[in-house]
Amino acid sequence: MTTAHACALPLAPYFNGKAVSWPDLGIWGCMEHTFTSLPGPLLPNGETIECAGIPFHFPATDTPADDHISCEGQTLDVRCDRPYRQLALIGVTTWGDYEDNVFFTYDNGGQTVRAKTRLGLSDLCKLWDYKQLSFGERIALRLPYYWRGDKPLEFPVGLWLQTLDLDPGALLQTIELPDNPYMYIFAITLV
Amino acid sequence: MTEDVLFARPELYTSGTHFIDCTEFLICSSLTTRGLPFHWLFSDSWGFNYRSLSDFSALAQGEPLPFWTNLEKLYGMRQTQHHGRKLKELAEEVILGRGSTVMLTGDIWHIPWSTICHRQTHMNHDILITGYNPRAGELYVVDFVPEYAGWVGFDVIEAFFSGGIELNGSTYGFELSAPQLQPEGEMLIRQLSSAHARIQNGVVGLRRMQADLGGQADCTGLIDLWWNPLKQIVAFRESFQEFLLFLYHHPELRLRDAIRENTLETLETLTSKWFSFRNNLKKLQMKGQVPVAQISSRLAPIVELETRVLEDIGALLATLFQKE
Repeated sequence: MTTAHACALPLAPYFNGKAVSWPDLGIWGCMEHTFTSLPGPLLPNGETIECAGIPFHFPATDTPADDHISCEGQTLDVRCDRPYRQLALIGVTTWGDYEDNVFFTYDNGGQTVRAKTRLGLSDLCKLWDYKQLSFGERIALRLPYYWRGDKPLEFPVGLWLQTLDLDPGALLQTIELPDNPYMYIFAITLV
Repeated sequence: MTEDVLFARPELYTSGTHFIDCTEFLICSSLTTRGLPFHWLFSDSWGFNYRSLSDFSALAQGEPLPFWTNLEKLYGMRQTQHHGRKLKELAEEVILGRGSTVMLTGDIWHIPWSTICHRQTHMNHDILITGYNPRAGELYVVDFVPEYAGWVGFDVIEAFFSGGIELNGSTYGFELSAPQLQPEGEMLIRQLSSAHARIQNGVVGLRRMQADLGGQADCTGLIDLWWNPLKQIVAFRESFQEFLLFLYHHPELRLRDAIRENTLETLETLTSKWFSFRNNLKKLQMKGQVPVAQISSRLAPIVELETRVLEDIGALLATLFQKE
């Protein structure tokens, strides 16, 4: 698949959670009720990275500003002026693996069309006990530890790369995310 | 049994692994290895038993998990418990003597293939022993969480097994008798009727919960009480979804036309809604307040979906009765 026209979506306006910690800077993330967060120095920071040949814009994390989307049924307004074949995202979940509905709206020759697909994402710690991720995701980033409050837990975790097929003959207009705040999205690229 | 036996990982139709733990994986694998479907174990997995806003659970108090009831009732598998036994006795008596297999509970701390818990976490874990080679001093071990199969030194398993004494006060293992699955056609109506009754009871409970919520001002303090029961409540729905998918794909029962096309989709959505309910309430609690309106508005679609599943299973049963 060519990524010549890849479009990294600007997600910052939708960020509603702080996931990444920088203890040396006094910045602590808190993804959920057990104060789980990810180690900033080991993650990309406001830069473009490539996972499985797909470029992603990973958010800047070394400020107290929010750095990811915790899915609460938000609608992302994308208004594409060209068609794309896939939506690729870097995401993860906590407290389980979840599969939930994502709705796309397209402009198809002037007609608005709504389409449903399923987004499956595995738990941050999935690879502790299982050899594979649950929904065919690939590993986007591996981390040797994560934070539980201010305590580092030296267990391998990761962020996952998931792809969803798009209608290649229509223009994607909006993406309606699942309503499950323990599903987290860090970056989305259309390819 | 001194040879290693291939205990295949049970294939699931659903992608999640929430509803199946290490022991259940091994039992499902034992059935698969004998050429039997394991899905009937989930055939009436459902439950929502409501007593009050501060007291509800998946099952009624003291009620055994349907998985274990079905293991005996539908597969005729009886458990022989082995409390306080030594590993060598069990290996000689069960594996070599009876050519059977034995499930051992022990401390995961000693399990080298658990890269996370090995020498880091003390916790109960179950493994299956399918072979014993006394000359080499090895046991053949099967595990699915984490996945492992192979010969392991006797001393390693001995440490794991006796590690259970610290956790449980005694060593513990059990043996299951050979399965004999009842004719599937005969079980179908009975098990679906059982599931239907459980779903019906759950809907009644959910409506009582809705009514009780009406009299509350704030539920922030209840969320911690709800967190664990909700996990089992969702797991039951996932495992019942797995069972219906099994029925849908069953080559001989020919139920593809009888199972309403959207029933599977309803179950899929229902599972998502329960997870959404659980996680959203926890997130709201983190923010300091869980308004009753938020709970009610998230519960309403769940009640609607559960009611729809009840109707669909009722319709499926009606079709099956007609066929009889």
